[in-house]
Amino acid sequence: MRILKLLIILGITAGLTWALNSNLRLGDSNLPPLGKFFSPFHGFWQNAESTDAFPAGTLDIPGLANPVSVYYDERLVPHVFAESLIDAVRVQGFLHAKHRLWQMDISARSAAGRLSEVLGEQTLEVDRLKRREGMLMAAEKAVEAWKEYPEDFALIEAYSEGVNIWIDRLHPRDYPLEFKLLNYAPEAWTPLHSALMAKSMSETLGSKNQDLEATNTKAWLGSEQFERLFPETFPQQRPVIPAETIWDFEPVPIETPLEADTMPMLEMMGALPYPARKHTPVGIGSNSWALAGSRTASGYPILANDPHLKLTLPSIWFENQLHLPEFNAYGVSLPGIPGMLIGFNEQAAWGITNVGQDVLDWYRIEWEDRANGIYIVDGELLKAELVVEVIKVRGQKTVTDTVRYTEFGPIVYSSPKHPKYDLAMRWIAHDRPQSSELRTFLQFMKANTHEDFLQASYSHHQPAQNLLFANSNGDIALRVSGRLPVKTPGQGLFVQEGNTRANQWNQFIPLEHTPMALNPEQGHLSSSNQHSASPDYPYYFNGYFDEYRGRLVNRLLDKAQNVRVSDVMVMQNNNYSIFAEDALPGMMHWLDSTQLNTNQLGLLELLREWDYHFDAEKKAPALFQVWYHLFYENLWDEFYSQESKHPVIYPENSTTIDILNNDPTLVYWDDLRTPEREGPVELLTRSFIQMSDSLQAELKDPAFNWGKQWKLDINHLARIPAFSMQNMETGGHPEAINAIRNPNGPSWRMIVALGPQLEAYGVYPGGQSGNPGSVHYNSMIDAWMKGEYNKLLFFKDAAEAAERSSSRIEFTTY
Amino acid sequence: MRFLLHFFVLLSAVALTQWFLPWWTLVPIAALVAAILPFRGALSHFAVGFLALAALWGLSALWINSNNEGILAQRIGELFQGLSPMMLIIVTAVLGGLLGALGSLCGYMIAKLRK
Repeated sequence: MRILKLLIILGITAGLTWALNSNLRLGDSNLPPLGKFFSPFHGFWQNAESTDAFPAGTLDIPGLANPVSVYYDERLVPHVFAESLIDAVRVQGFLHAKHRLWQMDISARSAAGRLSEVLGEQTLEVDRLKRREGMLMAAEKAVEAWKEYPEDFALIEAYSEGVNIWIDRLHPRDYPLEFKLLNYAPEAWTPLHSALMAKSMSETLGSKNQDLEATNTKAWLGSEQFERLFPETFPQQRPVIPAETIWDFEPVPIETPLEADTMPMLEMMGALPYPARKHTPVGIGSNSWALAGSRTASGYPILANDPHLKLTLPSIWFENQLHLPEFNAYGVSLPGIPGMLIGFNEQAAWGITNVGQDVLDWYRIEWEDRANGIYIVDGELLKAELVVEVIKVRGQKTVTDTVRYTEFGPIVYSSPKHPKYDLAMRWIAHDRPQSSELRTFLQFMKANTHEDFLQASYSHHQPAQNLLFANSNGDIALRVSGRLPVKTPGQGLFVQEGNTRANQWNQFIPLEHTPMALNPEQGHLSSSNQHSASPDYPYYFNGYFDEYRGRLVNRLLDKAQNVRVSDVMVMQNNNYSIFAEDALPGMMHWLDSTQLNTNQLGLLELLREWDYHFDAEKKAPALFQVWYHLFYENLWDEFYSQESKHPVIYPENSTTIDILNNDPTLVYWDDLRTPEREGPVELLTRSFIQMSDSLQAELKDPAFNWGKQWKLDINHLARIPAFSMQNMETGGHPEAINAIRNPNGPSWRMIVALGPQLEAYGVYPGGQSGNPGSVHYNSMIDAWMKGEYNKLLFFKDAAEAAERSSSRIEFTTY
Repeated sequence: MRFLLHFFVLLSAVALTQWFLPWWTLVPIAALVAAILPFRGALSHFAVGFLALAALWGLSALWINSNNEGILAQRIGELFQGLSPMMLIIVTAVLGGLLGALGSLCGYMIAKLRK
């Protein structure tokens, strides 16, 4: 009897302990092992940092040549004082890991197509697409190429070792919270992980493509209509490089011009291919500008930069200062990559924005055999290289996927609707890097003169960026930097035939031919993702360019006099939009106000008084945006109904507004869903009434405004709501300088006033710590929302750092 | 008196070993302490195991939480059906207590079996 009782109690105890140590499923959610997770000695409580604690102490770490001191300021920004670059990046790796390890781990996994290893079946298709896109292959190739630059590769290795020194010191109780929630352990960092981070950046910034959709659209519309609705240039735009620039070089001739009948290919590409096609997000872009001393109050240049990216927690950026005998630099890093991407030193500052040039093209591969492994190029039978991708799936059997690599790139999509052919992806990020890649930004940290800047810019290949530079000598310079294929006009707009090498990218624009400017007469330089150069630039430029932000930046800079830092702060937070300025008068012109009731006339009055600022507290921007959106849908109804048959592209806002203002008889004005024939008056009036109907509930709230309509979520990287900031009321618009559109926006606002008294300001919507249990997790979001800045503490020497910092870690070697 | 002694021995034994042993070892440790220092009654052993571990886990969580000003507990609470930080501490204490109680009871029953 006693034994039976004992066995029962033992069974209950063992069972409960086992259950609390296992991953259990509860409905839809995966629970962490609850006993481990709640144990105050092992679980989440260990991640609850004291709010007043700053990292301090003395640490012995292997591999340092000399001791390194790290001073933390009150925002948890580390200021690294080292005797050599290799010591500095070793400690930088340690610090990035210390504050952002889980972010680094999950980002590298995501890029490699290895999420399912830790997240299970739910991410299998995401991983499959990443593998087919060749991300892992490209990163492996990059590491091989980097090894040819031993001096730079030693830095990348030192950085990896720094990360691993941190990881090795961790007891499981110290693992970042997300590892505990998802119940896995961090893996060792390698240069391949850093390469994956770089490829992930190329993917974010340099993989936009719509060749498939454009091919369908052209086949449907015909050439003439297509050219009307999808113009390649926009006459009102001012290019990044001032239009008066003279191109004094002989352009590379195209040796084998494309055969006219192979391009564009006018066959419908069929239904959505497998895996499902990704949509490129709206609102990824950036602004940067530099004012010459002639336009500033101090007489020295001011440089500003705000890259717009998907806003997440932890933030994509990490602030740090690296102080060495040979240079002293401050800026933001991408955790996972040594150095810093945007920043300044004692003499100069640099910024980046994306070049929208199209560097991803699709080719149709026609198979000659039943197994879909043999294709013909220029009459020659070729075999596709088969690469077996092994995708481990947590809690399930490993999945394999065979990816076929052709001369035109990997086959990404296939569809049972067209078993004879597939689509191969030619992407610049697959190319073996022609430099160590790291070099550019390492050189920026010590670049003082325009010559230094040019040198640094030459080693930057991808993703192509507009590199902006200003220094205390008074120079301002801008360079469109990157490896860009030489294309024949029109090449890459549509899917091309993958049966001839003439269609390949056979040459690249020599780096010294890429557009650049130095100290132009206008006294300012800027880039906001608009076209890089005027149409007379000798190479064909096509891609994805923004039409409105750049116009406003140029308009404001043309007028700017005696500019102070505070003026630039106001400008970075400017919600004015030329998009609205161009659209609203035309929309009101066609509106037949006799059809409106009293309430609707009241709304119209609000719009009449509006100053085109998308400010959170205003009501008019919400009315405008909904009205425009409905007008857009009513105008382009043909496209929405076509979408159900084949994916298509949609006309740009700039084209829509051009038609609104200049083309009242275009056939598309008619809404095919209705029996009557519409023109501008009918369409805009109908859209206005629809707007007032659809906003009826919101408008009952007297406090309704743009902020309530235009909400912003800054989500945790694993989309855990409790670790996210959601439903924040914000102003801004993707076509305003303050380019907020959920979930994208200005991911780092930086302003550097150069001169003997260099001053720098910055803010990003996050915090230095990646730990949701830290007071520094989201500490800057409030300031960022309000358009406020932190004065960046740029310590001249260790004495100043010691005096003004909150804590200090001494790294010694053994 | 034996109860108090047991309470403190168990609490300190677990507190000391949790820093280097896996979390679940608190169960066999509670059993071991009960087997070495048995006193009267199954219920008392259940109670002492519960109280010692609930105190250890609960007070540790309380201490950590107050230094953290509830930042993390607020967020973790949201993950678990919107528990408040104080409820989260109570859940932590009860969970630890329950495991301690069962461990202690097992130890007591094993010790009794040998007699």
